[in-house]
Amino acid sequence: MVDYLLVIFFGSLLAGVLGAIAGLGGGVLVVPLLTIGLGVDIHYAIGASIVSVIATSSGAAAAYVRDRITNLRIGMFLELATTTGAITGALVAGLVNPQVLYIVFGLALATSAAPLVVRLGEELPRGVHADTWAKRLHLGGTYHDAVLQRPVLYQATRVPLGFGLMYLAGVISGLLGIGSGAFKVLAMDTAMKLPMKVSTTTSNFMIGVTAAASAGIYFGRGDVNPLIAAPVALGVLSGAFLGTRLLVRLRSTTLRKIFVPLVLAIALEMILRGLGVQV
Amino acid sequence: MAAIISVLLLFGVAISATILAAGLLLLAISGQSGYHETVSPALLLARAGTVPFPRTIGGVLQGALALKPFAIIELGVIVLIATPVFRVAASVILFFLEKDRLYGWLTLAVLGLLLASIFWIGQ
Repeated sequence: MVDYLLVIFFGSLLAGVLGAIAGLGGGVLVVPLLTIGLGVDIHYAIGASIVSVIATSSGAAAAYVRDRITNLRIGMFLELATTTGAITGALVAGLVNPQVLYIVFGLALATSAAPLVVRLGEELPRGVHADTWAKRLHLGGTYHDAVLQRPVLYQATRVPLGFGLMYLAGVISGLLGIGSGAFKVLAMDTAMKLPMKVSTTTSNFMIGVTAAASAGIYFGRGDVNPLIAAPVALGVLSGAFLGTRLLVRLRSTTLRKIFVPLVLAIALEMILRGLGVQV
Repeated sequence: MAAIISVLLLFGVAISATILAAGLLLLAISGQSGYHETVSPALLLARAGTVPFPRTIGGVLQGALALKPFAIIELGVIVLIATPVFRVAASVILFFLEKDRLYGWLTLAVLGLLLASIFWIGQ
């Protein structure tokens, strides 16, 4: 018994570290570890991954918010889009085949990783001009970059596009019960041209709210098995704390090199799930 | 504002982790789930829906008061789920205190939508 719990704990710890630095919930690691690695039922695995998303989010955000890397305004403003999207998704969930959705969104995610590859060497976005919305809603800010050893000033742009993509990320969460951190980072990084660290930490801040919105459903359904949830939550929380110490020491270019393969792994996992493979 | 939100998140996470650890400890000592099951890997690998544990807030509280290990763990999970909700609620108050009405209303809308999806769609 103890060996099972230890495997889950340390696997979740790794998921927490990666999730905390890449702005994801760690489900991409937790689910296959449980299903393929240990043979846990997919429903229990997904219930555990919801717990993992909330643990990564709250655990990591505590540090990122304190260090002023997370942009609270941008996060809260975009949460309006993700929660509206999550409700839309939950309402139409019965009308569409989830397997088709997994494939469609998996392919969409894989495609959106392409521009990231071109920008692998980009440390900070350049030549960004705030649009009317960013100015009106004060969507910008500054954070101290410990690696560059200077404050980084930034502005958001293409806010309606970012908002729309966030709505879509919310719909996906509502439909499939995932944190959709990868979609959130992409919306902020690619569409709104925010610095990578602001994008991943603000995504981290947001995914807890997204996951909490659907957590009630999974909890009530009895998908949160305590024997799995306890080591997952404790492992992910420990990992998230370690991850926050790591992120400040990383270059954004390094962060991108970690993020791109993770996005591709998530896309692959979604497509496989759509094809009926239980990962 | 950032400092308060950060402390709030830390607080939620610390309480949750303490409850989860206590539940696990009790589980290890007693070897029982509290719901007529001896703890074994079989409970981990069972088909979903076959492992008995409470799935309502009332059931969890009742079980936790009776010191049933599985209920205590589920209580820790509930605290964890509630943490982001409290964070949004606190932000509403903080934005209004900072006289940032636009963001106060905006965050209030988020809170309303969040509660709607938990308590209305969740049923």
